[in-house]
Amino acid sequence: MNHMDESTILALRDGEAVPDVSRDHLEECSACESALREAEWRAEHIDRLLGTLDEPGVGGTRHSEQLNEARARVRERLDARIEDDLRSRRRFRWPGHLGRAAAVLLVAVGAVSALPGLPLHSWLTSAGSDDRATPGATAETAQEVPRSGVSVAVPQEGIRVLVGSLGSLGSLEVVWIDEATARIDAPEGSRFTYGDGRLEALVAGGPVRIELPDSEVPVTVEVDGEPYLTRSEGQTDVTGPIGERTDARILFTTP
Amino acid sequence: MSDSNRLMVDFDAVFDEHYPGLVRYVQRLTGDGDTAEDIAQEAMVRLFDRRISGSESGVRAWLYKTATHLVRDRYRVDTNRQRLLERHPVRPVALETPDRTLERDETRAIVREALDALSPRDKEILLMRYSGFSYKEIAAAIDVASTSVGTLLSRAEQRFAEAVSAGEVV
Repeated sequence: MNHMDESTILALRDGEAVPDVSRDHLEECSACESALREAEWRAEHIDRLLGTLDEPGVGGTRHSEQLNEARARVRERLDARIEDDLRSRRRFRWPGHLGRAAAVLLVAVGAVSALPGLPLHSWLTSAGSDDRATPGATAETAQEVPRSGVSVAVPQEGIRVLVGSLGSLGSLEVVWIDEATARIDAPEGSRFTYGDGRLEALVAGGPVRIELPDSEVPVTVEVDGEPYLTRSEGQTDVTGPIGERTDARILFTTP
Repeated sequence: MSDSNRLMVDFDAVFDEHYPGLVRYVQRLTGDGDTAEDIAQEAMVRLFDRRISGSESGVRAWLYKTATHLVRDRYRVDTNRQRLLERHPVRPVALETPDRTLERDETRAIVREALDALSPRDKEILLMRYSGFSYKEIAAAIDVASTSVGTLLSRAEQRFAEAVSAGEVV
């Protein structure tokens, strides 16, 4: 056997899996054994050097008081984040200026239609517009539908996202994100489970949003047993009904 | 109890397990203790806010990767970088410092400079390895094939050692 390359020597040093033949070779080859010793010495040296960067109180030498302070700050920030999230859920879905414009328009239409004698009034009433919009109804329908979701850390082996629908989804959006996380959210009432690299969602309707890592980790998205998207070995195959596609996202229009 | 349940239920345990190591990693990465605390806390907040679950090593890889991205984002802004450099210049300490402290601070400055001379990926691989990550965990955290980690680590160690030698730390 030829001498071991540097990465194999490092793998041996670091307790990583190496072929048995490499271990056998090590027992017979003084050059490789010496290279391993040198790598071990280098690791100790680097560890010692990096240790000089640690400030007192950081890492393993943190005092419990400092740790408690940090924990309290994380809790505070988390509470603030949750509060912000709740607040944004209560807001209208439309951007402010569009929402205001729509409200003004509907108020105007409502007022005009209430005036007897105007052509619009008769047109509206003859159209049987019992369900015509009022400002109150507008606020009601523009309210964001409560949603629920779940995030999971994506393992190196990849993830399968399986969506089962109880009703029409309307649209399903896949967004690539710069994190090793998969997230799915859907209208409230949807149920999620995760295990063995499978993120399963039984959703109560649409729209559904799925976030997946923008990396080469294998991913699959299936909807009601139909493959919509598969990424394997850096190759992405999209087989679902595409409505719109950009580098950052794919919007599927589902039945 | 499953890992995911444990994660959601036991905030303190997850925090205690990962926070100190995460702060140390980011502090080594940035050379700035305040930034390290801030970024480590933000990563922990995101972990709980987004209800990230998974195996223990998966959660750890997620945290370190998130922190690494936060560092990259922060340093991408030139003004921030400039501010940090001005606040924490890399230089030997004043002459009146006792000899031993002086020596340690000089070593620290050289190590800092050597680390900063590495590419971001070399630096991340090196620091993750010396934070106790396995090759598989490093691969998951920085999005490379696990079979490449040995080669990348070897190169990063050599470059680091050379840069330190150039600064004359033995």
